[in-house]
Amino acid sequence: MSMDTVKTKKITLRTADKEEFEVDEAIAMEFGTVKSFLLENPESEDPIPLPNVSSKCLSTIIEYFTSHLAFRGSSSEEDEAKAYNEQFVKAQDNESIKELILAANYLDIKDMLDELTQAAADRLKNKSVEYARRFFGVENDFSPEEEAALREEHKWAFEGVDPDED
Amino acid sequence: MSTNGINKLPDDVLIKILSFLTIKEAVRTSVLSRRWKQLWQFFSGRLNFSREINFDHRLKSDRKKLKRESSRFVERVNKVLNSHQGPSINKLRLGFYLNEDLGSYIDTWIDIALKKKVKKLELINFPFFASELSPYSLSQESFSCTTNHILTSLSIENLGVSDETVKHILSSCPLLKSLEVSESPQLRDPKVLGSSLRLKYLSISDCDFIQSIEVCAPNLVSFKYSGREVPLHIRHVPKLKTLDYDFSWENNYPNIPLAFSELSNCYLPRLVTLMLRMPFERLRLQVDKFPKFTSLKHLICKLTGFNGESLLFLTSMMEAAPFLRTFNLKVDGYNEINKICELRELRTVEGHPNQYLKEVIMTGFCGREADAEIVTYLLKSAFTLERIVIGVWLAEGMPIPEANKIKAENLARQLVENNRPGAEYYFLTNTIF
Repeated sequence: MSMDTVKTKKITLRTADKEEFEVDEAIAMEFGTVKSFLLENPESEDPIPLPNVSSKCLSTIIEYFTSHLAFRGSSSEEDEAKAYNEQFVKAQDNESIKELILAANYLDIKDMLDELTQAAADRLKNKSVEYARRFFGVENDFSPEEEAALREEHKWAFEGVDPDED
Repeated sequence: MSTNGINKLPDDVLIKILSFLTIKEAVRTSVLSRRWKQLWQFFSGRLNFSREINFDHRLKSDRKKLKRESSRFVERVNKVLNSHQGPSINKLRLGFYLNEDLGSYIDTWIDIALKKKVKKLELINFPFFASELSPYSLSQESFSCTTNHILTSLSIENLGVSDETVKHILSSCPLLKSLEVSESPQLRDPKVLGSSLRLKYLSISDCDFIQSIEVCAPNLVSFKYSGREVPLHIRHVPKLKTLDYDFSWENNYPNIPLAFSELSNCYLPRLVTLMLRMPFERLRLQVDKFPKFTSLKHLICKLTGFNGESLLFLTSMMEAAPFLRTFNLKVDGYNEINKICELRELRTVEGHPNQYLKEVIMTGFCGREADAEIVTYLLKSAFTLERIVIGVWLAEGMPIPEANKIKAENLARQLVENNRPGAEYYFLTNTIF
């Protein structure tokens, strides 16, 4: 082995919109699906296709991990990561959060998925059913009678009065 | 246009999001669409059923009200727990008027939760002042779940728990890391023993009839006791880092050694954080007997019933803790202050050097000579002090007249400027701290 710094291996990822991203192996290995692929095809030099991830999403995710890897090993890693996550999540609008959840789920990135799903839940807190429907892009396929019956069945959940929550 | 994208998410991710909501909010999602109708039944987060009611205890009709509310509470908890289909729940918290009438429900709910791999269980009985209703007493039957459960944290407040039940809980919950029992009149001589106990946090508080406690727990990191001063046989706690003793109840024998002196000399020096709350006279008489606290970084002393004489006995504590980083002194005095000490009247006070003390908080400072003395001592000792915080009042919830307050603040300011000019200082505004 030479005394020169070892060149970090780069992995090429190709997004749904046919853009190619070259990332450090360290970052690529954070993605469960990519990691599995690489373990099964260690010699492959071809770009790895990610048909369910847009370039916008992937570049955001790469940015997230680049920052996180920079904190690793520092003495205030936990605090720095926490502060970063808060800012990161704040900067995403609802559409981006949803897209990122889809991407993180597809790419099998557990920790990021936990962060994002918590963030989605935070945005739904104290919001109406209509808001939740819009957030999730859900069509109401209940008849008015069915919905009314359901609301009656779970009447206690629809009462706003008692301070039940934690 | 609505994105259909999120609908491509598998159910388990939607459930993940749901599980961060409260159970009420999660149940509301049942009306979103047919797909969502039963997703909430896989809720895996924190189930919090807590309902405090405004009772007017003078009214006889309150008993009827309690019966009605109890029925509603039982119905609600049953509905959720019986419909629950998912494999796990993170936490179950029941906060209600958990009297004997609800006993069999409580046992059933605990059983369901344990079977659902609950990690944290909190049972809180709110007091209802009708004398005929006693709090439910948990028993071995309450924790008879035979499937492997993973309970790590249990908190019981104002429910009956006997010594036997504690023993049973410890043996049937092998993964238990945290146990808190408070306000249980049945607790007499609890024994928390076991060479394979994983228990890290133990708290026993306000049990009126307790007579002694025995602890032998190889993994215990933090022990908290509050209530009457009783013999505390703490053996074999090699990992103990935090001790919190609150002996603010009446003690007729201020001269007997403090209960924790039994903690052999090999454990006290390992403590990192120590919190003591007791009548000031009690601490004053015992403070010379402490060993050196060679690992202590954080000390909190709450002294009640201070008569205004002198706090310099605390210097022994400071000398016994050479590596202290923060010191929080809370003084509750009872004598009204008529005269604020003048700087020139202050006796010379020498400090014993402590190079690690960075932060001092003193509350109950009201400009007595005793206050000025101890603050001067601390400022002189802590030659790398960064910050001192002062609460000017007589006792928690008892402010002093504004004119005196201003004089006392000025005195404090002068003390800092004379003795530790580089240090930051500020005054607290709220008397509850």
